[in-house]
Amino acid sequence: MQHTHVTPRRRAMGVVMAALLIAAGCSGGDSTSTTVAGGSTVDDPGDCVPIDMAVSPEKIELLKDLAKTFNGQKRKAPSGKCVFVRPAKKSSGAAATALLKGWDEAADGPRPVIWSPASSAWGSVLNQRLTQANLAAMAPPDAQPFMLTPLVIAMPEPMATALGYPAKPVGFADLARLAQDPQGWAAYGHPEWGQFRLGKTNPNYSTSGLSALIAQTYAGSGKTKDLTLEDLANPKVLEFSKNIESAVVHYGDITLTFLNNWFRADKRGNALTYASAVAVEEKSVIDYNTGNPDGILDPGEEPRPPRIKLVAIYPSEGTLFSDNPFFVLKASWVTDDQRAGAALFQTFVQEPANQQRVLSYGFRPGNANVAVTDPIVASNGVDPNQPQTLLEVPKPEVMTALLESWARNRKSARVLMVLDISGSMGDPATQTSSDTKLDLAKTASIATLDLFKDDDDVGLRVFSTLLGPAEDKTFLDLQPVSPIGPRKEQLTRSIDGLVPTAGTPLYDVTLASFKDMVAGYDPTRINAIVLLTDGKNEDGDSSNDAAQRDALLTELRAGVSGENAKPIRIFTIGYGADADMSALTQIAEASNSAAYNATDAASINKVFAQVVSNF
Amino acid sequence: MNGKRAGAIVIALVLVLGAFFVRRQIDGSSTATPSGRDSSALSAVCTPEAATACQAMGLGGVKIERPGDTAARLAKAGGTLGADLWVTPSFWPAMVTELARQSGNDSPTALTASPVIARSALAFVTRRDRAQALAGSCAGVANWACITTKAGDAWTTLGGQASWGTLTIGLDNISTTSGLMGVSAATVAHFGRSDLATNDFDDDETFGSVLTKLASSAPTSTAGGTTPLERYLRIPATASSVIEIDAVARPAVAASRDVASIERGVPTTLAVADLVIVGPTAANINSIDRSRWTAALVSAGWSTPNAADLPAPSGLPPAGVLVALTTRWKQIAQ
Repeated sequence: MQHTHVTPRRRAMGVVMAALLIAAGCSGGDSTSTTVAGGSTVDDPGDCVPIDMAVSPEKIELLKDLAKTFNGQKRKAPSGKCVFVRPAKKSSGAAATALLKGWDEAADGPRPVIWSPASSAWGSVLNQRLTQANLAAMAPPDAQPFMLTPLVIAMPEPMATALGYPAKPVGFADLARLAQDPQGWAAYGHPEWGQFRLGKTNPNYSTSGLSALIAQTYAGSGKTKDLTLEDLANPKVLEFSKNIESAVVHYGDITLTFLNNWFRADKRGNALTYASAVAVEEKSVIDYNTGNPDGILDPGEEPRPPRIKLVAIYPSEGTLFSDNPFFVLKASWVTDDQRAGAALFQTFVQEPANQQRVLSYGFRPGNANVAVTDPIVASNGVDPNQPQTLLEVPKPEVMTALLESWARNRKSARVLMVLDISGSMGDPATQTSSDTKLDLAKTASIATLDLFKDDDDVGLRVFSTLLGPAEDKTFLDLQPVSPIGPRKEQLTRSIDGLVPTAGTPLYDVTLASFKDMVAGYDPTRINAIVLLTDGKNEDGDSSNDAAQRDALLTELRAGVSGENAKPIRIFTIGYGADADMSALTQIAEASNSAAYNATDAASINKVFAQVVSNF
Repeated sequence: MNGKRAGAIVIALVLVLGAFFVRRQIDGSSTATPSGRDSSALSAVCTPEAATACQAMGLGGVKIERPGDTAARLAKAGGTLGADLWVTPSFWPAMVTELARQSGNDSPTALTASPVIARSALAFVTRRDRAQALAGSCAGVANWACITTKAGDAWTTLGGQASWGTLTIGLDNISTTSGLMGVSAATVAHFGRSDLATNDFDDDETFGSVLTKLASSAPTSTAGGTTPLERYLRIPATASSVIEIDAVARPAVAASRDVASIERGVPTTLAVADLVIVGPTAANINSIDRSRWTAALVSAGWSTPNAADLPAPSGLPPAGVLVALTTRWKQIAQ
């Protein structure tokens, strides 16, 4: 396989393609589940007028319930036919991409009459892309919000109190100062909390990450609207943003990773040293404080509140709302009858009784006449009288430049890619594929190299048994952890040349990699390991597997605890049907990271891109 | 068929026919005009702030349209209303002639106007805490002159809190009644009189900055609703305040979840919208039941034509000046 030099433009294209890939594949906004291609609705509208909806995942259950009630009422369209609403889950970014491409029903499900992304900002993004393609805008600019939730800075209550909140307003400027203070929390009388650590999702993939980026940039500029390209180039604004980014723990595609890690850390009693603050939606603070950090109660699960509650800080410089608009699309496939039917459903969901229901999901009603009540109350760490100032979504061209600027100025990473080259990696990837698992993993990992920026340090380690000239090694370092910019070609060649070998010394190589990364820890970077394996620990001696695993987990947990910790995040990828997801999840959680599931080997491209979104 | 069943069918038929008769009597009494014309035979173009009343009048057809758009259409050569009636504040029809002249159309559609059927002043809506701060910085009286000159100022300089940001004023498009009246109120407040001429604008070098300040203080996002007031009530932080016709603001604020924390006021110098019905056919205008229209409008939030709290003058500049003001605003707000 030949690989040519990657130019900056091609790299940018790669980033965009990866973003689209993730947007198409991962949950939209800050949702927790993956997109189901083709949607999830199988309801038969019979002779009624079908109103298909594409909705962001966080509200799919609520809208399905509402649609069920609405459909039962047999409301009539102007034609006299009944109206039948069919909501289908589609992440915001994926839906925007599908609409831009004309919506392929075979791949994307039924063409929507109503599109409800997490934020109306997605409508602006779609319209801008359509305009660039000389196509007509599809998302009306004045869509009604179905439900609302503002972006907040979630902070453990003792830390918020130490900053003087709520008596003293707190904003991004305060966080930037704290991030740059060499004393860290010691400046507020709490040296035991260590440095200020911020959790923030990747703005290319996450609505709250994008909102946080907009908000911090406005804060740096001193404006609340009309952010310009000149503002983005202003050294003061750049410096401000860099100061914020310097405190980032890691990025990622969903806020749930932070919330789950925080929740687990809270159970272990070290929530205050995992993260000092995370940019999330207000709704997530309510979910967390009520003991349900992922917002979903599994069968048999009961909510158990954390030991230390979070407080929603509404940034003093202003914030943005996720407004969940109902866009009745200006699309060629939408008939007059469907348009009228969509209006009927829109009116229905705005009825006070139906708007009351959004409250139980932690959202604020979109209907201005329905009071904001429980659970949006002070006892859940939120303030219904906030925010006091709202920021405007910048113009689309400024948004694009903002994302490009972030890609250049985000916190740099120091990453060791640890790839399994055991014999089973030579098995076919799928029953119908002629490619092996290793073939697909190589393609995916080579593609993700373009997602790193030039000054990210990236190394490559492979592991199996019987490695090295004497066949006595369990891993080989093919590329050192150093700046990727000038070495992308070498890394590509190294990955391209991998061949399957023997066993899977998973625990041994994980521990060794962790120790090596701790030894070279760089506090100015995100320090992480990306660990991919298709199997379970098989080092030739199964008698000590449990002891090996326990020792590894103990070491990892110790590494992320305490004010002087040198946290190395281990993002694990369970690849193929035989991957030991249980062990990989434990490893990831012990290092306050996340495990990614690619048991469907064909999904490895998407999953790799999701993993790299953490940097 | 036995006799009992036949009798039941006859009775049922009588009941159905009787019901039709009674319904027709009811419908006739509610829609017939004094001259006997059935209002359901008439269609109307209505300004959005009169939409509720228009839809309650049992007209043959109702189209809701921004009055600036209606006026622009009528001012074009060959432009038609597309309906029998136009329910609108009186200054819009007056502007049609001026707009037509501006575009070289010497014979715009002739319109006959009814007397005023309802009135409403321009209102200012904000949170109580902000209203208090603003009043404090306006020597106790937040009139249009003070409000509009403070537009865009940091709340900290107005006695408010830093977290409130700046005094942003939600102002609708200049093609809407509240949009044009808001700009007009700022203009009248600046000059201290409404009998303006367009050359007054050029003679006063400071006037441009007044409009620029007002325009730059207005939020530009339209997410969340079709009007600034809708957006403000749904998401209060979208703006510090909103300018809207009181006929719209009063019922909307009263129904809002935030009614206890919102203050709605009618600043001086009053700017008043005089609602009229105009149309190309005088007979249609003469045939309308004005008292019924007024009743419908009052129940929707408007005041009667002779409301004691609204003195007769509208407080607006002449139509030609409003046209010039519209042009100037569009240049600034772009």
